[in-house]
Amino acid sequence: MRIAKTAAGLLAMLALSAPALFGSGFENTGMGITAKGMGGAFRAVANDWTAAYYNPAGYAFILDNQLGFNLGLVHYRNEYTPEYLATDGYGNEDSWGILNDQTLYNFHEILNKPTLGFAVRLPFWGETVFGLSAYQPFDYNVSWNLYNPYGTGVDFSAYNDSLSMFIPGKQIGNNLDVVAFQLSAGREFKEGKLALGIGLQLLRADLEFHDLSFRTNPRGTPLNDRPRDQIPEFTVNDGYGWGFGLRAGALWKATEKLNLAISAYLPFDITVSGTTEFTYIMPKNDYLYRRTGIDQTDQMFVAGGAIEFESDFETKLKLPSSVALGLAYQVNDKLTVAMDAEYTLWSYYEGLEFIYTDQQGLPSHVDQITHERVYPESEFFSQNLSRPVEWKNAGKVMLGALYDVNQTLTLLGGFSMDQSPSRECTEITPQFLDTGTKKSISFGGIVHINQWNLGMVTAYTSYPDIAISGLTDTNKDNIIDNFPGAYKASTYETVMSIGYRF
Amino acid sequence: MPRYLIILALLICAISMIIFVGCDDRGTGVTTANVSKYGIDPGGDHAIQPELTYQIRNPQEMLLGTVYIPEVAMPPSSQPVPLLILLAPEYGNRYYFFEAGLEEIANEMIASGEIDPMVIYCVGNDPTFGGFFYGNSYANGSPNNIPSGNYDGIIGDKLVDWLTHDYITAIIDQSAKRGIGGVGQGAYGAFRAVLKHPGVFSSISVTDGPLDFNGRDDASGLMDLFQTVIDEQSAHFIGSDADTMPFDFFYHFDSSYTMPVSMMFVGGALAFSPNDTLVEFTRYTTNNVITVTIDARYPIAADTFPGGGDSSTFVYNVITDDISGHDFDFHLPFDANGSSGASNWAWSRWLSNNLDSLYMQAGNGVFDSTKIWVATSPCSKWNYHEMTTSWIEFLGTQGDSVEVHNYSGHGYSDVSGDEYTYDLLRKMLKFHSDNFKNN
Repeated sequence: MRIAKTAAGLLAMLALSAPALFGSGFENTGMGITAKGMGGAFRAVANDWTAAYYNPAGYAFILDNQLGFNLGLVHYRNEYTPEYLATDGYGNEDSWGILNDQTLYNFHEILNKPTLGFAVRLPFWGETVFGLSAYQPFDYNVSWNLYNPYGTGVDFSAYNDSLSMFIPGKQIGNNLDVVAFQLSAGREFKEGKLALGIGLQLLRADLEFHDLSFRTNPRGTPLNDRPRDQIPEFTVNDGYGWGFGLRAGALWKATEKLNLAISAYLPFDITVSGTTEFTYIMPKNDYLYRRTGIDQTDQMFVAGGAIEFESDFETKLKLPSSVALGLAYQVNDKLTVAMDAEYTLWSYYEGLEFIYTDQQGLPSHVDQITHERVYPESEFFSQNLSRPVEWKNAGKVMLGALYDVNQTLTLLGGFSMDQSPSRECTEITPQFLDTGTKKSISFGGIVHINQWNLGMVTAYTSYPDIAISGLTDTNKDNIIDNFPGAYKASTYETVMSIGYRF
Repeated sequence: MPRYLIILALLICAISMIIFVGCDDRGTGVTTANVSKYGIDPGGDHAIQPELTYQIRNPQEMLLGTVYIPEVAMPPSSQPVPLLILLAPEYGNRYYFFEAGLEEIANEMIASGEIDPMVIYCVGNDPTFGGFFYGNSYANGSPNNIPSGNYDGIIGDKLVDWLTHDYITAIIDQSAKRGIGGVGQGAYGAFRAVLKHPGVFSSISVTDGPLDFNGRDDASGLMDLFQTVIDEQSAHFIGSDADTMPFDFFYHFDSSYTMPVSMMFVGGALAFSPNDTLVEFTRYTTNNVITVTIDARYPIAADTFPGGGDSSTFVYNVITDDISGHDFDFHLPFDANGSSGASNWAWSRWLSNNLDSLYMQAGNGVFDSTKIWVATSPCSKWNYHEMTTSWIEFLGTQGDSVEVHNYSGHGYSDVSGDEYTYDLLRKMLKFHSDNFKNN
């Protein structure tokens, strides 16, 4: 019992050292039917093939062979009421076409997250259990529309009264998937007591990042007079990259009823490269277009067209490492309770910076000014895009319970609190929405039919409301790095599973 | 039924309920405006004689304007509404305020009830010569037939008369329901119109402009820009093909768009210090071709050049009327050294058109029935802020109250031009509407 108290104390200290958050940042909320049902408190349980994610050491104590498949259905249900105002000290404001004061929702999507894997006991190195699994350690996918110069209460058509045909159907969004193909191995080092496990990962990152930036009009007055002072730039960055990751863990059966666990995750940076589609919606002003003294470059900035071209891009995805502790206690033959604490080094992640090269498809005149550097505007169409963040490390605490009603039905319940890495920064954007300490509850059950297991678990995650005010330019590149306003969020996730033991 | 099956059924029901309730499709929340397009009259022009008969490059004698007409003033209701006249800045034409979002702002503010409907007549300035300050010179107490036109007989006079009696839209013919405003040079024009026609307008709203030509200390204001003009001209000449020629500042003077300060002084000189006025033409039309013959030309005053005038400020060979072929020479308010001098004839003509001079001519109390709103920013171009605040101080000494709105650039765009017209238009419309309501 003293061990249990000590372990619980360590977990509590770890939890308290990370005061406020949830699958923070863009980390996956977990996998596996039992683990999800227990709120993620599974590291010291780790008794099925999904231990590959939580603690590979658990493989060592799996006596049979397992094959499993999960399908997670995720619905991000976010709200954003923009207050995107460039305001001077005297209260003059401008939204540049952002739909201020309107409650906006992310695109309605039910996202699916398939996960599969198996574990087999092989007679290598003395009964080592191996497993191969594929899952997503990092995943996020939301899309928004929040720019409409003709929106109610916005009417910004003085900028360009005929641009609707050019506005992209999906204006900002982030679809980031990091899939891990993991080879796991777990082996007992002290029979029935201590096991160690390791997982070697091949990572594949796919990124589709839609962004809207306002670039300062480089021309002089009156060409850049409001409402033409800022030019909207829409980008769609679509690419992928490969990398490696490493998981390791230890599981110690301290007593017959108490398990203690520790695990760590070390993903390496992934360089994502691909192509970017640019769309610049230029101001429209017929009078200035016809004006005497207007040259070809001037005309480009008042003609009202859309300038579209492509380029290659490269960005570095800096993935955070994490460390976690776990405790599981078997109260009786039917009930097991567990508690985990995880600490993720989100401060390592610095945002995304897209480096653009080899622009193609520029209109000839734009191409000339871009490559010959003959105008101050030469840099305008070739600027890199940076979305910096200053995130903090974040902690997560998970509590869970498993109750075997009988040999056919197992009930699961869990609760977790997860800190936001962006809790102290103002670079909040709808693309990575993590408003604060999240609270998640989950429940579900598993039906055991012979060698088959069928499960269903649902989880609801509640985010605190936040309001961000003021425009932020973190890296002083004249590009606003946040979308201020009021944010609300919640997430619904349902996981269905099928497993087979043999 | 076994108990575990009941539990299982309840579990499935609970999960299904959460999914059903929590995951319905809300759409994106993006709404689009449903603001009806009411009346925009892009051809709200009016031929005005004789005030514009001799205006250079205006053979049709047209005052060019574009008009915003609110829905209630259109048929079938045709409800009479107040009138606001807005004057464009030195480089703005009749579309200036619409390019800055006037239509959208007015529609939105009227729809929300923030302002009452009003007809807004936008007068274009002349961008060719930097604008004529919406003014004109006088000789022997009478306006002259000068190339800038005689705006004093138009802005607060014939234009108002035409709009309230002859224009297609019903407009309330009461000075209490009539306002005027302007930006930059239009600000000067707005004040000038009120000073020349007291009691015609009950409200005036302006942003920074040349409101005190010689500044707070009688030695700044526009005077600080004299050297800028010389620098513009010198830079242009030295870089030209003619740089091997001896530089004659006043002979080679250029008024192209790339020299905006020079342009403004040309326009002002044509209005305030033309060399010759009272040019009498005969114009006749044959087969739709307008022909003008010069019958006589008279100097604006006995001391103009040639014939005893100030040769040091004389600019000639610059502007020729494309119909009459007549050269319109003028005097800049400074000489080739950038000096006006106490005895400079041309500068004295400008100062007689300075607002404080016009105020003293009109007499104290000229603004008693007119509320004044002025937006000013330390970042405004061309000393406009200093001139504006000096004018505000002058009005204060005369006992006239001014509602001052200070503004500045935000972190991403300083006030170097008219970046804030879009913002300030809202405040100007609100100011006039509130005044109309209270009258």
